[in-house]
Amino acid sequence: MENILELNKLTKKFGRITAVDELSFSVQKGSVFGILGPNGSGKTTTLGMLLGVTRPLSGSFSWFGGESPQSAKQRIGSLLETPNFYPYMTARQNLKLVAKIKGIKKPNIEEVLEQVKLLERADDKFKTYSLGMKQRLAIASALLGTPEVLVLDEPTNGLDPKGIADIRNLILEIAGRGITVIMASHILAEVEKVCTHVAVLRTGKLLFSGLAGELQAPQEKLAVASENMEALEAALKEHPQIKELQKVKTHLLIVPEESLSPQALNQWLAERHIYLSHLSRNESDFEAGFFKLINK
Amino acid sequence: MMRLIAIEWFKLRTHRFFWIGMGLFLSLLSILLFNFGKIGLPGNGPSAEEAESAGMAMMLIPRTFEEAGFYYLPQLWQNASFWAGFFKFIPAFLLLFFVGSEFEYRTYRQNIIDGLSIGQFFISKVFTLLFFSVLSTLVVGLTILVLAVMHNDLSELNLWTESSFLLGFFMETFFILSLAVFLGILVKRNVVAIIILMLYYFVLEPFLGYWFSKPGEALFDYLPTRPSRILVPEPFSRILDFFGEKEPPVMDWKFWWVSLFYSSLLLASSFLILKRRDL
Repeated sequence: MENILELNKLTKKFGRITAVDELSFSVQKGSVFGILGPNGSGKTTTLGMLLGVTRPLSGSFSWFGGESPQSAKQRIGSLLETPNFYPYMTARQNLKLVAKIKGIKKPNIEEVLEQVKLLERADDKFKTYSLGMKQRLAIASALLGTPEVLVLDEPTNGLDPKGIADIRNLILEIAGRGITVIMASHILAEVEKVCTHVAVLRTGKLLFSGLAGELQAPQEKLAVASENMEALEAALKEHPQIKELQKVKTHLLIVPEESLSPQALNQWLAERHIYLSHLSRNESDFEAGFFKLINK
Repeated sequence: MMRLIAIEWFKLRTHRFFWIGMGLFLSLLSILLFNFGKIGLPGNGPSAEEAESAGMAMMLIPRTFEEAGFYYLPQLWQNASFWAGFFKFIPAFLLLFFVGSEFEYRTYRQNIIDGLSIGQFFISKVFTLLFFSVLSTLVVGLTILVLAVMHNDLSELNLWTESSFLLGFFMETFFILSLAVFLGILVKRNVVAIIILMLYYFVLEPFLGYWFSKPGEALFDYLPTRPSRILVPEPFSRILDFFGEKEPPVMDWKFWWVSLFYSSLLLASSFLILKRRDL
């Protein structure tokens, strides 16, 4: 697969703080690449450097195999942090201006406004927009001129649940058209649902980079519950193949050894007259995998 | 190049302040200049002693600026350019506001993300600066032409004598606009930048000037804003010099070039600030 973006030991310091520390990874054409990390892990700084608004201290990056930053940016649609538009212009005028700056000859303004459902308010001034609408306009602006790569920083910031779902579907739809998407987020569920590849950052360091599927819980957890929780807990504590046990609200979270299957555990408990009302694999392996990395 | 001008013009023409500001400049300037002639001369004209020594000229003693020749060529160029100089703050504040907003609303950052280089952004602001200076000069020039035609017999006079005062006004405006761009980029906050500009222009520099030297001495005339201010000298002494005793003032081209030098210095510094600063 062709690499659309490569980072080579990219580094940025703010005073004594190293915001991005020798970051290297590459993004394949056609992937949905998630940059994941807690607040302050260097996601925005990284994207800022890639888009030419933050000067790297050292290291390098290249778009499309070494194209000049100016011409590369005309092939990239981006949304960095907050939406920045001219408050005195209407949405349509703002998009016209972006098209002029990007040198797009016949801008698809109506199409992108339709995609983010802003057509009806297109001739209202930007300053009258709600946060959600501003965010949607920023996404519309990123989609102008059908870019080859979409760079999104926290694209669902400030949106309500409906808006978040809309944006997620929009990203999936865009990715379906073969556009490469690079998105930074601290919201795991968001990344898990749309990304094919992930890079995990903590304090500017790369902890993991690879297929989203590889970032999974290294150990399986089971959630169990029964009518008599005390008896259940007492029994499980005696089970030789259970490594960890944790109380979580209405159920117990246990880490069994690999050799212990759920069926075997259920049977073992039934033999002791404990009948389970709930038995499930822990819902987010992705989340567990992420926290295991972050807390290392 | 045309792309940058198109981008900049789009930003300007959608901005209400631009139209209001330029309308204000045009209307205030023409109201002042068209009515200035009606204003009575300080002390209602020459004193009794002066009138007596003038003898026969007593009959011709002017009472208002118009009678004193405010609208007569060639001194109309100096009179109008001098008063227009007070209105240079309108395009200056407009430009400062326009540049400062790019930082305040982070649209500068967005422009760069969308594909302008820092140099292109800077050049497009210099275009606006030139555009504002030329536009203001054209407005003043046209006003002068109208007044000149209304009050003079052009078959006997050369219209363009002393028109270099208008170029003086152009440089005075160009300099203050360069200072506005510099402060807008340096401070990034409109109101703060306007306060700094006014304080420097009307308080700090005159104070420094008087502290270190007296008017007419070398240092005073070479402080940054000073050359641009003396390009068009005050016209009162000329207007009140009824009997033509003094040499009429001329525009000093040396200070014109010094102003241009200071303007270039301010613009070059602005560019360096942009270049070195993270967005």
